[in-house]
Amino acid sequence: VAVTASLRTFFAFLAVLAATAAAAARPLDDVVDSGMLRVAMYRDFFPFSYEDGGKLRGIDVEIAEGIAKSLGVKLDPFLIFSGETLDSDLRLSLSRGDLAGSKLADLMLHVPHDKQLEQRDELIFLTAPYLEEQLSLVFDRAAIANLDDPTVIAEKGAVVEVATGGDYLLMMMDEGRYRDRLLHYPTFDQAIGAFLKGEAPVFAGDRSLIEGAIHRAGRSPDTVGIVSPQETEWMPLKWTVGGAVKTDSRDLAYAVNDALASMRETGELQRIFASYGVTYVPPPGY
Amino acid sequence: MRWRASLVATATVSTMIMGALTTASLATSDEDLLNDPKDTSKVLTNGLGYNANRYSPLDKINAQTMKGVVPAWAFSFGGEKQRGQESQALVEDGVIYVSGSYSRLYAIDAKTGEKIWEYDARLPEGILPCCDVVNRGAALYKDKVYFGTLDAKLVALDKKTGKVVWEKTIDDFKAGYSYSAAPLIAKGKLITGVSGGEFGVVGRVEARDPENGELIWSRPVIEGYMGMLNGKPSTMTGKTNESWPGDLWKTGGGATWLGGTYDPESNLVIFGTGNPSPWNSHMRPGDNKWTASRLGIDVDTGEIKWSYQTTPHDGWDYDGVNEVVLFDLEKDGKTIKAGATADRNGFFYMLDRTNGDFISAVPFVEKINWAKGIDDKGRPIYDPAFRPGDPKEQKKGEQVFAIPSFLGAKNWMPMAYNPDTKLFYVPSNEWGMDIWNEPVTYKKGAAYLGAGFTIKPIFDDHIGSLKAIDPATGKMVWEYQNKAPLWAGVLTTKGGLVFTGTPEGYLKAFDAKTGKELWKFQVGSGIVSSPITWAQDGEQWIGVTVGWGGAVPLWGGEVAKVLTGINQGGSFWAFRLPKQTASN
Repeated sequence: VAVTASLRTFFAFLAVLAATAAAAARPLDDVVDSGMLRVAMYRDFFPFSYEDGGKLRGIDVEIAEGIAKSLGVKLDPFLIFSGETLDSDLRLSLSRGDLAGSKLADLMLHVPHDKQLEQRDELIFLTAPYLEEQLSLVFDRAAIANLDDPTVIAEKGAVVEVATGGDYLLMMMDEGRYRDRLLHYPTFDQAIGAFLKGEAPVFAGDRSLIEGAIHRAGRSPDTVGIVSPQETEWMPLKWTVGGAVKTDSRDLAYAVNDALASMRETGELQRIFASYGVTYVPPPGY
Repeated sequence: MRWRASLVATATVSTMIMGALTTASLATSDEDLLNDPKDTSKVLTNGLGYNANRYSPLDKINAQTMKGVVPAWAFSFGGEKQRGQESQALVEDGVIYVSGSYSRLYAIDAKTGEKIWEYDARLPEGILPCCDVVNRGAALYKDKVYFGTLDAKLVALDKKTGKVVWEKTIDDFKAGYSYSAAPLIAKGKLITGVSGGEFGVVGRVEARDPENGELIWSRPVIEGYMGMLNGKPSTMTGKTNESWPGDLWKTGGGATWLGGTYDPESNLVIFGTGNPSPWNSHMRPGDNKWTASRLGIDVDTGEIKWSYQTTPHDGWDYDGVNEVVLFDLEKDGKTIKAGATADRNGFFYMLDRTNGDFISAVPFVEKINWAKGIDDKGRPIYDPAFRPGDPKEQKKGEQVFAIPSFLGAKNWMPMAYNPDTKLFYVPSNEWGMDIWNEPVTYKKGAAYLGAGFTIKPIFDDHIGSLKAIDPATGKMVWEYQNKAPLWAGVLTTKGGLVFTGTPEGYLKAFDAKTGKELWKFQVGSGIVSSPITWAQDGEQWIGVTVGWGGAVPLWGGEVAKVLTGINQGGSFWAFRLPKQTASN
């Protein structure tokens, strides 16, 4: 009898502990309790998050599924349109919501891992990064032998997606001498499509997007060359990409970091990237 | 006999009802719209008439009677969707039509403030507008009421029921297009522009058949684009590459997001166009036509009959969409058919509205530095020291303090013209901006070259400034200074009054001649809309949409300090001068 009584006390004590923990660390527990992880990802963003025959596919989608699996919950994807800057995307996904009053996301993926960003937006807490991205130029080997000398662009032209790093790089590089030879397209898919059709033998943009598009088009990687420009003082050429949560969801971010680390260790991340034809470049230090 | 008598009686009653319906709520005619400035029982157009003077011949409310004005009723837009109520209401046959934030439209009984119907547009998931969630009002024609939505749709509703008659997509909201202006009915056509601040959005003006929404003509405002008339290509706007390098004209900007005015005499609709893209002017040498311009467009064909660019080669986001107000300028003994426009860039321009010829320009805010002035031909005299730098040339941390700020000496909020005092009443703001090239900006997960801004007030005690300007001399006659930035439109009356609202929540009345503040009323949230006035049951009424928001609260910095504590809202307030008070 005495033993039972003491056990009872012990159980009661445990219950109190659990309740306290729940009150202090709601977001992760909320996610686990609800059985759903709501993840904001960019819409029409090949090869990271896009619809393919009505089915959601992509590197970010599979990473999100991996994270959800490790938390023991289902993935609830929230597809967003990209705004003029990342700050507005973070507001839409995590803090302010969209015009339709959609539910906020628990986690947003493909957020550049930049500590200045975190300082600028005090509502945001960044997870560990999972990718190093690099501004690159792809050229068609059938049209030009190499891109060692960029002045070939002045002669043959290049395709860019409007208002992207690739666009700004080629607009500003070498005193703007390539400006008149650039073909601007409003979306990445249209721009890379124009490159693949041979409208111009060069495209400037993000390395993983280029690799994914070459793979999807069924082009042998040997038919193109990818080069990365030297450092410039006036714009960043390399950055890392991770996730973001609300600042009061740090415990969720830590759980996401554990999931990402485990996917890296098991080779799952590499497998996901490879299945889309994209080289997995881990962020420095990870 | 009894049977027969009863039949006659019934017939009479039903005819009366039919008659009432036909005249009361079914038909806004072209004549009605042309006559809008004179018929004080109605407010049928944005701007209280095609000339956009925002002038009413009502004079029962005046300096003597103003103190007797009392609130009649207030109507709440309801829901959780507040923020940014920029709508100018319309009044017709005892019904007020007013739009709310998040693409909502209401019909309200003008006497009682009771709701007749409400229409809530269903907005798609994941949509984020560039600049708050405002709607600036509706348009009336025949039996329908028209307005646009944040996902770039144009909706025609039955005036009586609020039911959708037709709906048309202006453009793809996924590509950054939106719609927030009040549509314009001109010569039996429904005329709209496009909104959207995203890259790649190209401005255009379009005319539709109000009956079914079918496109009649389309006029892109950027050089190189082809226009459309009756389903066929018409003429090209300008010449390709005349003022743009490479293919940048294809994504050149120039959004026509504020709507336009109509000059029946010259058969033109007059629209303003927004800033060029990309933002950094060093990437697009040339004038970049027709961004930051005013265009006179033939209402029948969509042909550009004249054009005038206020900020050629804009490098400051002087998004020159501002309205052109039509009036007769009396100068040196002559009467000129003029149009006046107070630009984002800080200059108040006088143009010949029949041909777009430049007449004159004077600064209407203090300490403008991006240009030293406007020359005889109407071209700015730039000061290169105040153009944001070339990112490649600029040293790290270098910044420029340019005046006015990109939110403009005058933003969207419309000014008013009073033909009695012959003065313009211009709601303006005195602020500048630090601009620097920001190496750490990201878009869709990727780094790109952005710019950083901080808006700063010019004076310690005020940003907002309502100015009375004499168009003949360009001189400022009086000024009212407001601590917070002004973001509301202006109304003026034959009663010798000028009305506007403040972010602090006051609807205010001023003496049109002296600027003396005569009256104010606290409405409970900031005012960022245009007040109206109308006559009802022998009394003069004033109405204003209420609810703080718009672009100002989206920007922080020092400006945010004068805005703390302003609560959001969403309502329409009606005021009246009771008959007894009026006759006292």
